[in-house]
Amino acid sequence: MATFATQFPGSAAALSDRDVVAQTYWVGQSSTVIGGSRGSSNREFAVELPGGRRLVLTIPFELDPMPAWISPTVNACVRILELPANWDSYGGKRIRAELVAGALLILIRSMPIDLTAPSVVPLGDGGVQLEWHRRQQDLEITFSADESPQYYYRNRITDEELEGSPSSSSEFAQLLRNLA
Amino acid sequence: MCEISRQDDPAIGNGSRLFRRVHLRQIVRDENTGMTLISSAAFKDHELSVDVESILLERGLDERRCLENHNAHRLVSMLAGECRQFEQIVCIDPEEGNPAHGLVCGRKTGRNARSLRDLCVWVIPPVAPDYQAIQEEKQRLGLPD
Repeated sequence: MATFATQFPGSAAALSDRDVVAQTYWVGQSSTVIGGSRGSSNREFAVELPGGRRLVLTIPFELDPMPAWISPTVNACVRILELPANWDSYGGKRIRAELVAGALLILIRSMPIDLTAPSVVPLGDGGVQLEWHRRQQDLEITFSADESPQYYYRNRITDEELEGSPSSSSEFAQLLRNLA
Repeated sequence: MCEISRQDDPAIGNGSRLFRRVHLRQIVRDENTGMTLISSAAFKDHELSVDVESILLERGLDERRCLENHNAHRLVSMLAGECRQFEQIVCIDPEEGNPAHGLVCGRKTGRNARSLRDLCVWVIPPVAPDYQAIQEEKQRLGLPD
């Protein structure tokens, strides 16, 4: 069954403190969210992707109850993974599962439990952007095909702007908390 | 990345409108205002495709041409001069069947992309659509959230 598996930016080692794992496999042909089933110490989201791949996201049981943002976010990710090539009419590439998985992993590591789900937006290079526009703030995290993940923040009241990496920044975690 | 051979084309005046299609999946809800917001993700291509209005007009065409056969898109515009203010190169890049095709070339940081987004003006529809209307259109086209 599994002829392909990979690890994603910021996965296994970097997140071992919370045992978050994501992998993709080549399997069936549909694109349906299977997920949410519970294991003994974690629960697993398994998403069958177009092209016969499966994205598996394993979440530690400590996140119980399941944060409300997870289900809509995973569903939104599936929707953009279903986009065909040239979806933007400008030669846009199909969205890459490993970039989506990397985005989900960073969210699981960093999201306050009470923050609303982000908007999940496709990028023309096959990447994904997560964004919130609330509490007079804008926060965008870009997972591009050819650059490391970057966030951009703007406070609409003070006009403060910040940019940086979400993978290694306590500042980023604080920005997420400020949105909740 | 932009090809090294790209050079800014002064024939595209700073006041020239550049049309850009935006996919429905790149239109989000601004919880601050309850209105629609075009995601900056729509402006992050290193070589951002646009249609140059002056060339469309020379051929007796207008902005409606940009959305022909593109039901899942809406149309916005920005001025060439505004793009140049953000260290972007604006040039013609004719394609088969679309001589008005142009490019806005350059690295788009989060700040740059947001600025380009903020400079955009809705063309079709002429004002920002209600977010509910965008949701309904996505449903109609089989693009549910």
